[in-house]
Amino acid sequence: MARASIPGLLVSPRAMVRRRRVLPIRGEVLVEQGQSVGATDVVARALLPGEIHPVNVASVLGVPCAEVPSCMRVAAGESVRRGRLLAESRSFFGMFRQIVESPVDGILESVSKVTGQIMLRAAPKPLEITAYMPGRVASVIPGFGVEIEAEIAFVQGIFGVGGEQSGTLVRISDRPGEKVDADGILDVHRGAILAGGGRVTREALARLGAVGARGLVTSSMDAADLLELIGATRNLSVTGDEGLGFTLILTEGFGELPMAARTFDLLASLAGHTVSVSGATQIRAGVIRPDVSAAPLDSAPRSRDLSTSVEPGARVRIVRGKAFGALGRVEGIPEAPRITGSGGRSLVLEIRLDDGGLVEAPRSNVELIHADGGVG
Amino acid sequence: MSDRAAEVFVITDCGSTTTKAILVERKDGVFRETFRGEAPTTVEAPFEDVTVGVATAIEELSAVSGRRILNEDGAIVRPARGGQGVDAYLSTSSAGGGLQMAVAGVVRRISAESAERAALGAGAIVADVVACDDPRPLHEQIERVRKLRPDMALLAGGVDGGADLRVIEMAELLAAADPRPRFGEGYRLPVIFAGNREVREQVAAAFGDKVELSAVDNIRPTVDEENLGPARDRIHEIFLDHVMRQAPGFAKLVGWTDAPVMPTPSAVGEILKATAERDGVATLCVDIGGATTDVFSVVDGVFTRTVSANLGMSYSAANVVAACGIQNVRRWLPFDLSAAEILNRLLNKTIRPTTVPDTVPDLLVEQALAREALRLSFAQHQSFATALKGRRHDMNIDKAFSGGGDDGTLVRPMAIDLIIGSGGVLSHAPHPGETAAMLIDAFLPEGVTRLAKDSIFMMPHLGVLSCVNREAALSVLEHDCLQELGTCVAPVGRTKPGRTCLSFAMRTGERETRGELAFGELRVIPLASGEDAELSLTPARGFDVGAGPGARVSAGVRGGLVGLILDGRGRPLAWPGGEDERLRGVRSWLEALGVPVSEGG
Repeated sequence: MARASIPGLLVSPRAMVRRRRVLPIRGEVLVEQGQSVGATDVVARALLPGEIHPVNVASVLGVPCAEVPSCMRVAAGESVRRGRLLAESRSFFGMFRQIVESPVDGILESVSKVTGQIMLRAAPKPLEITAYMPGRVASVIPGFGVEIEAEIAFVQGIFGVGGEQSGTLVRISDRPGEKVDADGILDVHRGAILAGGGRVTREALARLGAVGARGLVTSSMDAADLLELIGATRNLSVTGDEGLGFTLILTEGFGELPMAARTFDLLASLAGHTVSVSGATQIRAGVIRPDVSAAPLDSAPRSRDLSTSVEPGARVRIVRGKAFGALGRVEGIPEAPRITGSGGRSLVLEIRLDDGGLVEAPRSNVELIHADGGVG
Repeated sequence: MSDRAAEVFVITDCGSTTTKAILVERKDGVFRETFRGEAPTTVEAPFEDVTVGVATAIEELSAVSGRRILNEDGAIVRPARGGQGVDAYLSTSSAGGGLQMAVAGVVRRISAESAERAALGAGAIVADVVACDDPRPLHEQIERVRKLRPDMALLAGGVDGGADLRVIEMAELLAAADPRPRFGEGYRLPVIFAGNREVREQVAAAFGDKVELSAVDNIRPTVDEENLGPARDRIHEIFLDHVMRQAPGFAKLVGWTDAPVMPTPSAVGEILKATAERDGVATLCVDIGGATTDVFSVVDGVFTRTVSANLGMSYSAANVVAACGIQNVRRWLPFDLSAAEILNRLLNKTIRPTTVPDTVPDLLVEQALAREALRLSFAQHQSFATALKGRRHDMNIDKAFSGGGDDGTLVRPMAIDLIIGSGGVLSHAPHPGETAAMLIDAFLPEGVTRLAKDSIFMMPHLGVLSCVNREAALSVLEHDCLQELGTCVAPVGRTKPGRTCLSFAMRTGERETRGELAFGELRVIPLASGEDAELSLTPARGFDVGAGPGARVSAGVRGGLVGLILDGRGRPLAWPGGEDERLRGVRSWLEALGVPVSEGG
């Protein structure tokens, strides 16, 4: 039987998910393999080295570099407070005094008699990593972190900005495609994660920050609004550290795109429950998509078939071109490339759309929807 | 390799997503690429071993060629005998992000720029350049270096015997940043010092045992000289001996090959230099990807490579728009589409980079972006490929610090004989006229320029092959790698639209075509692949086709998939005034090149 392999975003009421939670530098792992953890439990921590602040003492004091060590009033390795006298010199029979004070709290790391430069290192900053989702420690990566395994309700978005947040999910749209505008975001949404169904407006984004909502999961936005929100030159291939104060997750993309019904329904079912959201997206090698996770509802069935293999009959969604968002079933998987609407040659799928029409779509423009769990 | 001359080569290029294998064989006395295979690159989890992807790509090659290349133990079968095995296995690699370097110097436009040139020429991606005259505060520069996690660093600064101590200051800063290498915990970052040889000891003392320091000859022994070779060679040595051995599976790959594994861009440089040297042609080559655009040139024997790290077709689409403005993308479209809609389409490509356009308007939006990404990359390349800055007769050091100086580029459009395009948007454009249009609109070639595309980006393979067998590499380049698009003739000058800017006569065997080109017009004269023609060009007064204003030029030209393209749109390109005229003009240019144009979608 003809087969093809295409990716899809996971949207499942109950799926077994593994997640790496690791420090950027070596630190200390605080949990053990097999241990149960909550979403906000700290699993690893490290001290990030403080920033380096160089000061050219020779030029500030106006002395030869070789004389700098004799001008120092603090020894290398000593802790200093901001404003503390580090070095001094006297000139013109001691009448004029020049001084160098510490610009930061930290440690005097080195003194160079070659260049007259000293290095101050600011105090280290603690960094903690939480479990993010409730589950079990599946494995420990010594010195760096853990892998958490959990059976959770899980929605992958296509693009997000902002870091990790958690809060109560509040539905603010009644149906997929309903625009998310400023009027729908209320003061009572402070601290909540909001779930919309359509394009979010520029005004709504401003309102989101103003009321102190922790996140918004919705279908789409205008690209120009995103660039205004995060800056036009921001790297979109790796996101998550924008420091917006809230997390924004898009499930479909840019433009006027309604949320897939399956995604909308799952988010709606989680309303009132605590969810964790991560806007971190990495589009290049080692793809990471933003996600929403929560403890599964008792009635939720488990997703088993999460492969990317497609056979005739598979449920799919088109994600580019005129039929963006259209759902259908694969009818044929031609082995030879076909000429597409752009005139290019591509491997395609023949898809019977839900409205009865038959279309050919490049395989790379199609996402798989799993039979028992689903991709939105 | 066996003692007899090698006749069968298997060559792989391990790219960031795909590992491509080709088989090169000597057939009837001529080296040809006979088969190809590919597989996903396996640097990342779950495999974390580049040789898994290499073996899969070679297995695919075996399947299509019927030649057994790997034995049961997964080892290369050597030598080639009776249709089995190969004489040599060669490889290039840019997998795992390629070779990433941090570069530091004293003066940004002198030592730091020379160091950057050495790193780029060695095939590296330069993650950042820091210098004493960097506008960023020092602590920010240090923080940046600390976060970079490059594969190695290159430090330059000071002339030999000079009294300037700032390079030691820079060494102290780098040491304070305590940069860690990307791969290999507990492994010290290799740092190459290519500055004032008199201060090597002080530089070593500044670094202490924090890094793996080695010194090579000064990259700028005097302000009038640039000496890139020793730094470039050391970068290659460290790439092979240290960096590659830390990356997943690369130690094994190095053991498989019969010649050193080369960074992919460095290999492209080798084949370009080989062809430019043999044919005496000034060549410009571009490889446009999702995130970055590499531009290579060989002009007057000088090889230059630049990487525009934020100009690309998917991941970097927003950066291209930020750099050029959405209206500059929109101007290339032959139909009316709002700026907001164009931006939405481009960013949808960013977040779903593997999707492909399946309507003509969607395709033309991507190609419009490509023109701007290429144009900006070329401008960066031109500003980098200049005569040495800081030379005594040009300027003093203060002037260099202030950013003044001679920006006369070596890569003038009139000097370029051949432009080669590669990368998905150029190589896989449905119609060859689209590729030609993108190259012409972006690079605005002047005079007589050949256009070609490398449809599967085989040049890296041929670059590493050229280091072992130059004849074989050039033969495959000519027969199997480059697809000729045709020749572009572009008179430089301005006049009123519709006035004659060029008279031409083209003779092919017994056939002669004569005519006149109007200013503003783009026209194609049929000249098929493999056909050569004698061209006689008489520019109108004030127009230049290579021999000076009004001077006649005779040239032998090659045909191609598009033909002889006569571009009378002027340089810089003269845009029709008014929105309706622009739409009509862009449509007529595309139609002249045979590009299908339609609205809707």
